[in-house]
Amino acid sequence: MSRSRQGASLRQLQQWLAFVVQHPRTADVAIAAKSAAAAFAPAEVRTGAVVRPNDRMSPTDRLQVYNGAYLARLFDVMAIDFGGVRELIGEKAFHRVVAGYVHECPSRHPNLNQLGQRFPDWLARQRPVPGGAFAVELARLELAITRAFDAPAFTPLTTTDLQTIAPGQWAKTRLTVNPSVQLLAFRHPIDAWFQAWKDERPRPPRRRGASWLCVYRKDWRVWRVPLSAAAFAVLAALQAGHALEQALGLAEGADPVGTWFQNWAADGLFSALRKGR
Amino acid sequence: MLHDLVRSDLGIGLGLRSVHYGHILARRPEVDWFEILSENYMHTGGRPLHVLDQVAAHYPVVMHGVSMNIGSVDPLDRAYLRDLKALQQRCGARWISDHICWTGVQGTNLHDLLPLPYTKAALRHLIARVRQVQDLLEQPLVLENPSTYLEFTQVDMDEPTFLQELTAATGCGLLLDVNNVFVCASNHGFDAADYLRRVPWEHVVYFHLAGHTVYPTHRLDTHDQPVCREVWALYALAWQLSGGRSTLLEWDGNVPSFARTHQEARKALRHRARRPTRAAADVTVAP
Repeated sequence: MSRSRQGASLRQLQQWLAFVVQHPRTADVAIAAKSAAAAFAPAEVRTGAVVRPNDRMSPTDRLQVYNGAYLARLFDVMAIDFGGVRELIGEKAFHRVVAGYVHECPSRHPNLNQLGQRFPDWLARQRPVPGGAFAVELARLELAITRAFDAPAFTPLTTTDLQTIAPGQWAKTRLTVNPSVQLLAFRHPIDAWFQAWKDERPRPPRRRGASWLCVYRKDWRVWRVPLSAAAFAVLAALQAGHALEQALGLAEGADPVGTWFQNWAADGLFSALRKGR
Repeated sequence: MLHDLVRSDLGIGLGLRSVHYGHILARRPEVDWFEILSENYMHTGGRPLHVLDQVAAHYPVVMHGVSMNIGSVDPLDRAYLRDLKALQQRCGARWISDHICWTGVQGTNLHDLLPLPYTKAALRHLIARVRQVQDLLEQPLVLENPSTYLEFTQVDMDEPTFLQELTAATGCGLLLDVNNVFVCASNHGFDAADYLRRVPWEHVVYFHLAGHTVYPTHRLDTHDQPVCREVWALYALAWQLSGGRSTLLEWDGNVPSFARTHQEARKALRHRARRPTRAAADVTVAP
């Protein structure tokens, strides 16, 4: 005798329905799958032993409303957060990618805005990678933008705050990079492509070429600023908690360090400082 | 304490949506109150929270969530509940609402309002969970009747009875979504007016109004268009039966200008003054 006749537990019913709703194909395919059939015999589901039919819809039609809405809802969220990747690989491929991603990495967070947190890493593991390494880097940029947007609140230091550091204190001073700052090192000119897409201009060719980018929030908006390799290294060292002396050792004297710090302070990239002795 | 919520008619409110942030902050329109989607202001320190601080400084605010997962067999997410309470303390929300549903199991969140079977076992489970949440939040929880697109075959009671039993056992409040009553009545073939007459009105804290989409086989709660004629008629009946409650318009898809959204919400003033008509009961027809 099937469980539907015996009276299923709430746990069995919820696990079964969750499986059917999340199934990447259809509700009808889902109810016939081995794990679903172990809970409720497919024939009994189809004849209404679990879900009632009405005069317009069979039990599987009614289940399909939820099955279809599940992927559509998650697709909409991913399409907003990873619009660049969608543009890059095309609508059909993006749909397949999202279906695969949410099947393997379903949301486990109360906030739907967190859905894409594992997407770039998941995309990088696919073989072949849809859109190649360029798409993975683009996904990393788009995730960095959402992370900067949602980062904890902070109060940026001003240039005046930095001017309180005495010359003798600079070497051992540690600057806290504000929590919205996302530092990205790419093997392609990702930001140039992304900006062209945003501006609805022809996209530049996807050739290789290292680039470095800082994504951060200022005045409640997310900004992106390209960095040189040396500036990236210094900022990354500060973000890792190193003192200025150590961080500046990575600058190799190649760039105008003073200008960097003026610009970074003006952009509010630092939120605290611990003066050295 | 529930009595205070039920008696506190905030007037006609709107769901706070990001497309209206600029208008609201710049113009400070005359709106009675705003309802926020709780999760949009949790796990973020960015602009939404900054906007909420300003809105809450000028308008009464109410919190409405979609991820409490109150009906699930999974353990309650205590971190989520703590975050919810912290948000309420920050914005001074008058109450916290969510849905009579479950949203996931085995740690996964499907981000959908999935239906509960109206069985005695499910009722016992929900009662215990509502009591736990009310203890943690230290206030009555307000729960909404969901739109559903399927009914389970093995049930012990209908939805109004389920609501009566739930509210009597827990003292929780109800958010009566009039559009959801109509959508369910149409999808499941019951009399919406009869449903309203069996609502435990002493527990109803506020009303939701919204638009929905009509498909050949069913109606879908999409919040992307104006409130339909039948829902306004049901609202008139609900207003009469309840003696009046705070009322909120939800508009989440194809959101029009702030002025147009507000105009739609304010239609409630006209409809609540009307005598309920037969249209209120005329909802068992196929969509």
